[in-house]
Amino acid sequence: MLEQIIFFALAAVAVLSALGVVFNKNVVHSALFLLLNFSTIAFLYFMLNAQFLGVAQILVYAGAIVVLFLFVVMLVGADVGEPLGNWLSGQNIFLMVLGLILLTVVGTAVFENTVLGAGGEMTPEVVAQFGQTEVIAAALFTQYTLPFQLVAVLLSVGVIGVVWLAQHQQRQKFRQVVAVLDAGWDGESQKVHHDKLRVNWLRRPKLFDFDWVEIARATDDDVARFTRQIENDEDRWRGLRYPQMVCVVSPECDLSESTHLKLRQMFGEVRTADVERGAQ
Amino acid sequence: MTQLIWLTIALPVIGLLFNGILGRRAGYRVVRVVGPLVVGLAFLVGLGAMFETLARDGEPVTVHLWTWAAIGDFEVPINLLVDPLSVLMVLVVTGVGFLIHVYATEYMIHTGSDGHAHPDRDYTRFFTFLNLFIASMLVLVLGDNYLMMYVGWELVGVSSYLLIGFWFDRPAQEQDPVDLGDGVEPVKLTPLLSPAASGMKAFIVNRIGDVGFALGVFLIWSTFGTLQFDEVFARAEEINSALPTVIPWITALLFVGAIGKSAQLPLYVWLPDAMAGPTPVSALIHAATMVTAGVYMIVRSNALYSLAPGVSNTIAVIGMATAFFAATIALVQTDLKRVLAYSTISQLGYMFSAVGVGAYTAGMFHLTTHAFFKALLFLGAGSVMHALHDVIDLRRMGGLKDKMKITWITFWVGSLALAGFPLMSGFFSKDEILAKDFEVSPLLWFVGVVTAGLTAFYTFRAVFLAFHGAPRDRHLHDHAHESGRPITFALGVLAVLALFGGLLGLPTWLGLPHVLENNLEPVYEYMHHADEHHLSLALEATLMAISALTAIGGIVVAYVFYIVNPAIPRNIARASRGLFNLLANKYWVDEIYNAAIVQPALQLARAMSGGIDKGLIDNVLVDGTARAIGRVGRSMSRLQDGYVGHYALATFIGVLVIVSYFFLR
Amino acid sequence: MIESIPLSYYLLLSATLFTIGAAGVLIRRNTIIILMCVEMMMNAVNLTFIAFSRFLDSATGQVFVFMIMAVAAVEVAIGLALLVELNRHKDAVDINQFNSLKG
Repeated sequence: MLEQIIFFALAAVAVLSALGVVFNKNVVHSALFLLLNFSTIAFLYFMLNAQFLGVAQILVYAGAIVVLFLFVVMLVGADVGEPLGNWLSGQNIFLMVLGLILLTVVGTAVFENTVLGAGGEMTPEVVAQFGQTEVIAAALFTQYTLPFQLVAVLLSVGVIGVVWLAQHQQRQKFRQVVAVLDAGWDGESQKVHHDKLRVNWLRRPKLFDFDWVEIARATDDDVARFTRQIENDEDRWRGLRYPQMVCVVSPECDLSESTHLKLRQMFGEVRTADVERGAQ
Repeated sequence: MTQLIWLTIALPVIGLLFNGILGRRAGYRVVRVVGPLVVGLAFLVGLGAMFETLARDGEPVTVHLWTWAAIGDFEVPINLLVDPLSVLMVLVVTGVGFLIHVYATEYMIHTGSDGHAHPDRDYTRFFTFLNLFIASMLVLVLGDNYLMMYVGWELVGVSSYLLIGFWFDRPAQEQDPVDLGDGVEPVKLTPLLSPAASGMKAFIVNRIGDVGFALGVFLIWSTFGTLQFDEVFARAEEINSALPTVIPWITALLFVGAIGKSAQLPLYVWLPDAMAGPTPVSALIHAATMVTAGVYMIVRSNALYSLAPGVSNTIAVIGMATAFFAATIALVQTDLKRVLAYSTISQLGYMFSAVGVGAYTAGMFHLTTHAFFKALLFLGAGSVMHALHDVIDLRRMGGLKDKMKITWITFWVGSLALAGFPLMSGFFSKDEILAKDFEVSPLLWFVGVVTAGLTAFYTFRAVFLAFHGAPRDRHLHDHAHESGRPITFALGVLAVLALFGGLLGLPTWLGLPHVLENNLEPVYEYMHHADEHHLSLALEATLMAISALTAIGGIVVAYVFYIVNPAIPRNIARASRGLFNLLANKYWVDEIYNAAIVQPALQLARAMSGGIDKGLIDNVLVDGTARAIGRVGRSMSRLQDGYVGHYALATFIGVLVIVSYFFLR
Repeated sequence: MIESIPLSYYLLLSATLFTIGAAGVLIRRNTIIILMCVEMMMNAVNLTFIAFSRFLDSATGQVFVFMIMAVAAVEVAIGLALLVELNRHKDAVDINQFNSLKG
């Protein structure tokens, strides 16, 4: 009886904390609910006589993984993410109904079927004699040696992958990417100034993720081609940013009034100022 | 030498490889030695094999080279069969082939308008193909099974195609109309096909026959379970009594192949056009050797043909009909090589009439002598062409006998042999055929004799027009000259052979030895012998006298017509212009075939290519499939909107469906 | 051994947790939350394995869970590294901003 009370209590906490993870505005709170969820499951493992994995669950999930999540939240910022809107939108209700259907199906199956299976070697007597960890270790290092090795390889690969990703982002860390239109710019199509990347669009006439525009030496035609390409850009994210961008036009650059008008329509701010020449 | 018989094939192959790969770099001076040399050496090997075969009384020997393919119990060994028949063919092919190679070394050197001699642009290519032909022909005659024979059969077809179209860049030629004098409209002649078109025509017409041949080979395989000559022939009689219809079918199908290859009615049309090739080719392939492959095949298969009397009789009738039909066309041809081409068709008809009545030896005998004298005649015609800068129209020749003595004399020898003048080689062989025909059917004999008269007439018509009388084209005549050494050498040797080739088969009824008859005996080991009845001595003598008189009569008529009073033939032609027109234009057979078969076939092909191939297969099936997949792909790619959430939703629904299926079914 | 709590209770709990996790993956747009939900789904599966292991007296289920934990650790590490990288690139964690997979 006591056991049942404990089980239902743990189950209730697990379900509620899971719901808490999903339906929570604050990412940090979600992470903490996740911690609670993992811990309850660890207790359920204890109830199922799986003490070794219960401990591992607390160490790996509740410890390492949740902490990792919190680190990332710290790096990225807890404020980012979707504005918590209308939970009961049509789409969400549809999705919840889908979830309930799945639950119903599985539940029906669980209660209508009897699990059959031969008894294994891990009987309570064996466990009592040798100890639980030893029994798992025996299976792990005899029958499942090869998968165990593969998991080890996978972990190594994971470590290397993460290191590579971290380094990669170091190399490409530019504070600002500038699209330059400079007809007198010879040589390479891009230059790096400290943390600023300057790319000459006239030499590399494709769209890329820039956040600043400088027009140094260019004709009306060049600018027209540039603006036409931006107009046709299908990337929604970039499209949102163009109206906030700054476009600097060099006074040496003799552009017609209609071109200026076009630029003003397209970018948030059009300045006339001296522009750094590419071919310095 | 018997065990080394493979050298006869290997040597031309060496020549072919050398000329084909290194020839151009080595230059024509090397090629002109290598080309004939390999064939000459092959001839020597053949000669050695002949002496050994004679020494062991013609006992056949099978030389196993290697096993080509073994599939289950179906085995294709590459064996060469050395018996009197194949040795005879090897000697004819390599012997005549060697002389023609020597001849060609000179013939393929043209004298330009500047008076300088220069080798043909493709001198090495010519000898490469010529060597290829010799090798292919030897594969055909030496193979000991029908499969190798078929391979050789097709290979000679390819060589023939390559050599007819040798001057593939030459255009089609108009022919001058035949002027019949005042008041009568000249007879227009159809233009000659270009060499390239002639080659294709030869190849395609041969294909028709080859389909029959291939089917025949298949039928042999499915009936006998083997393609080996000896096994097939040994069991032929037993099979015939069990399945009486199958042997006639096999022989008829094989004969369809022979009709194509040996230019018999109705598939003879390619041979006259094959004259577009260089003259040595006409002499070697289209007179002496390849076109006789059909005769060889029937003689080789005598065990089968002797079991199918109905088919054999048909062969005899078709052969004699062809002989007569072609001879009538040859009467009025104005092109010297075409006269000889129709003559070849006609003589092949004689051979088929011989093998059709079961006179296999007589057929082989005529094949051999014909190879000598017809090669000689073609080479003589080539020599004339060479002297006259490729002019071949009889109407522009005349009076050449003083300018080209050797050519003139040898041409006379060849013509006498062809006409069947007494004691010449053609006399004995043709007379033997006619006598055998008489045994079976006097009607056959009668047509044969008439044809013999026509043969003598048209042959000497050509001789008198070309070499005698006054020159008709003064300019050509002035520039004519005797051809070089290699040409006269080949003509001389062939003239000797044409003179004395008859010694191979002297009439037995006079008590004289018939060399071929005696030695070919082992070839007929499995032949089914029908009742034989021999003609009386007196009848034989009468028949021989009649054919001799016919030949002489034909020559005399030609002499009267073209030397004594040239007005006679023209008057006859004027009087019967319609008949003349019909003959000069070859009974319009080409035109009839063109309208009845070629054009419908082309239209069908066009409809197939435009409607079925382009419209249905290309457009609907191939492109349509691609278009449909592209369209489906484009519409499906709209599902790939890049939003991970949507992908996850799709996965979730998929899982839901699968789980529901497994849990709730 | 007499078990006072039947296996089906554990399975139903596991299914509930799994469904909540799946719904979370579908509903939420914050990539960090989505990764958390994926982890919850995996935990639900782990619970099933342990329950079966217990009721069938077999070590295999526990070995599986052990391996899944290792895999999950790797997955989270890589996933979060990618997330940080994406965040630098797009300045967002909204899953709908990462739509360059579209065909």
